Amino acid sequence: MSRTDRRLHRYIDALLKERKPRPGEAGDDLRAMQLAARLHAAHPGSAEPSADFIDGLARRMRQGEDDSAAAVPMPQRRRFLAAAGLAAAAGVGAGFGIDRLAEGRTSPSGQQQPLLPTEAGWIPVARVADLQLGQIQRFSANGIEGFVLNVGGRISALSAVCTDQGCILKADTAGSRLNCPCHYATFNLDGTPRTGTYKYGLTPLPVIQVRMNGANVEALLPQTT
Amino acid sequence: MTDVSSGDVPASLRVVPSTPPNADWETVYRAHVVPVYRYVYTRTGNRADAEDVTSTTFMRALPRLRADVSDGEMRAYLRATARTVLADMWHDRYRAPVDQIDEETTPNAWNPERAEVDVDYVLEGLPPNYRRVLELRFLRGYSIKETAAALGVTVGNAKVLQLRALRKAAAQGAPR
Repeated sequence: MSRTDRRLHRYIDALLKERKPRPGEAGDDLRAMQLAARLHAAHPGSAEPSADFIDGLARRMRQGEDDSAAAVPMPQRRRFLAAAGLAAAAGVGAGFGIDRLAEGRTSPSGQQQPLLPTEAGWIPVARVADLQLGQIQRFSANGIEGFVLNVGGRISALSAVCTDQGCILKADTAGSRLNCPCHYATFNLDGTPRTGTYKYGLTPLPVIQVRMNGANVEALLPQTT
Repeated sequence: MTDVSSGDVPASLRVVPSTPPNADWETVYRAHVVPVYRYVYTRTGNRADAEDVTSTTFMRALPRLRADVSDGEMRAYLRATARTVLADMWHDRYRAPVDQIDEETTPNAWNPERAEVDVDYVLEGLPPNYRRVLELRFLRGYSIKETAAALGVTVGNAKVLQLRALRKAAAQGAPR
């Protein structure tokens, strides 16, 4: 790689890490640099200011502080990576579920698949009383990572493993979606990938069958011996 | 056996501090800060710069933030201010010639959906492997290592491919 190649590469790297790129003459790469910024801004959610930033700037304006010297410390996307790595590892251990997901990953425009274990049993994963309207609960049972959801009074369950790289998704109750901490995937509460940049071939989350049994929500999960 | 974890706490509503009597500007600020930030982010591509440029824009505009100005006028004024701050940044940091710094030519620039339209436009004309590497890197945020693995090439090849794809896309013309 030439010197200009290395410089453009460093610039891209800075953007993806949400850091300020180093100064340096853009030269012939000016358009490429501008385009890189636009492309990086195009994934859902990235271009949203944090509530901390909005409130912090209001505070500084109130104090009549000059300039942006006292920048609000920003949460780094990278700090999620350690946890995400663990989640991915946990996903790999999730037995049959992962086979399904791996299958899904290799067929990019795959259809939504239910999880159908060969030897299964109904396992309680949540209490009905705890699952108020709009609530999303994580569960981890018999090697399966999942969510139980109450969407408009209908109880359902989904795999909590991102179909992209196997990270464990985070529920965003307020936003009615499931977000991946590793990359930028987001899913609707029915398991379909949200439109946006991830429309490029992301498999929906597998559905887990549930039933109500007395005070419990039970899911059809593989038997562990 | 069964381990039902407590799940995620619903995000609480953001508390908006009560404004002092003379603080009309804060209402105006809160009405405009998100679109300004979004716009600035598409022109900087990283959070650190987007926050700085947005801050500088509003600090400069502070004396002019008045509730009795129409929304459209305020938007136009903030956009012009943000563009000036951005042009300064590109000029100072990357020594970009002023006439080559992206000019806004369409009102759509303020449409939050716009960035996505740009992506389709940019990716459309590219060969499949170029398209793929840009999707993985920029839209999915893959590291170079992850990109290389997904494409089945070496890390060195992935780096080179990414740069070629970006330069080729840039040469196709600026997204509108």
